[in-house]
Amino acid sequence: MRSALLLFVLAGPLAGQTTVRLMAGAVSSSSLVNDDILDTQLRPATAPAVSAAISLPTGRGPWRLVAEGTYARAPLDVSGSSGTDRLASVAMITTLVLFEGPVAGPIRWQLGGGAIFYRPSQRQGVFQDGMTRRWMVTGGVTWSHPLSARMTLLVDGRLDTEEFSTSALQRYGYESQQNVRRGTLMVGIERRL
Amino acid sequence: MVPLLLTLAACSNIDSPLLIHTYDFRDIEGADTLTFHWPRSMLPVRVWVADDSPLRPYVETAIDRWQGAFLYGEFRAELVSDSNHADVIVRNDAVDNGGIAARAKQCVGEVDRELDLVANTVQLPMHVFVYAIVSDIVPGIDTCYSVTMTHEMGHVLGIINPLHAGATPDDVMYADPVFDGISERDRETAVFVYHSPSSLTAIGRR
Repeated sequence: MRSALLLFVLAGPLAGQTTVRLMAGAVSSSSLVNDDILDTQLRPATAPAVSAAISLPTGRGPWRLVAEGTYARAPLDVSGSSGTDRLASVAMITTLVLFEGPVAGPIRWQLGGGAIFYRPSQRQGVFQDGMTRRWMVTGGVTWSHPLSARMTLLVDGRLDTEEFSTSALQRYGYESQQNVRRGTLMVGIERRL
Repeated sequence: MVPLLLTLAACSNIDSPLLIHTYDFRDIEGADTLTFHWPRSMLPVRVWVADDSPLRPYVETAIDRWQGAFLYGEFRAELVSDSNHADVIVRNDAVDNGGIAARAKQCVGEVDRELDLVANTVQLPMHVFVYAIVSDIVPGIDTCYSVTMTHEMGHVLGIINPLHAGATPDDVMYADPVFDGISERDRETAVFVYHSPSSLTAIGRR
């Protein structure tokens, strides 16, 4: 009986404030490889992106925990000494866990990390061995504006960074990693469950 | 946020290895040095081989091997069904003209290119001939086709030294090739070719 009461007390506010978020926007990345010897840069084109997230309260404070998945897909642009070209596209799937807290008014900060999966449409170039996973950290701000009692408009701005490499790069003697930075701007809806 | 900003500020490029294991890829015609690689505007290179040719699987293997040598898609090729739209035509026949030859134990390969040394052009299509010099059912002919087709595709992509100077038996571009694959020297040489100027321009067929 005591356990059931405790569960109800805990579940009540959780159920009341748990939200889901659906967003769409664009992601822009720096070069996945900036090859100083071959004078070649490999960079995903700016890509449309969609994301889904669930946001949970962490307790009595104003902080929230957000679990988010994002999908973006872009062709790979090559430029440098061998000319310019557009290679097969690569899907970039991110799975993130973020902490979120207040800044001021409708603006909240976000900070977290997770994994980014690069899934190429063709086994080609640096992705000739197929999919690769990298760890990433991310941070940003989100602005919200209530639309109704259950719905909120959200605008997210995010910066993230990772150390990029693939097994093909390592096999061919690229022993270090390329620092990659990405910027994401998303607009969407948050709905209370 | 501070650790993130510090990480963002510490942007560093990947350490690229030097290409130090290369051999001579240039053709020498008199006093003239010729180099060739396919420009990105002509990729993927269109390769034709008959559907029922015994060479077909080895052409596919050769394309896969050489494409895998590159990290930035510098060389890409695809099989096409119509020889009239091919940049490279592969036949399981004896050569009908002189070219850059490779002689393995049981088969021979040659690439026949039409060069204009005044205009510095190479006329498309290039022709590749790979054929058995023993019965084509003797043991080892499959390996010979595999080795020789990869060797000839190396010439097609731009390793055009007719003497195969500097290549060793550990490289598929050796004059009498035995290595069934692409060595690190083959790979680095091919990459070097595509990051060096090309003196020859491919013309026709596009």
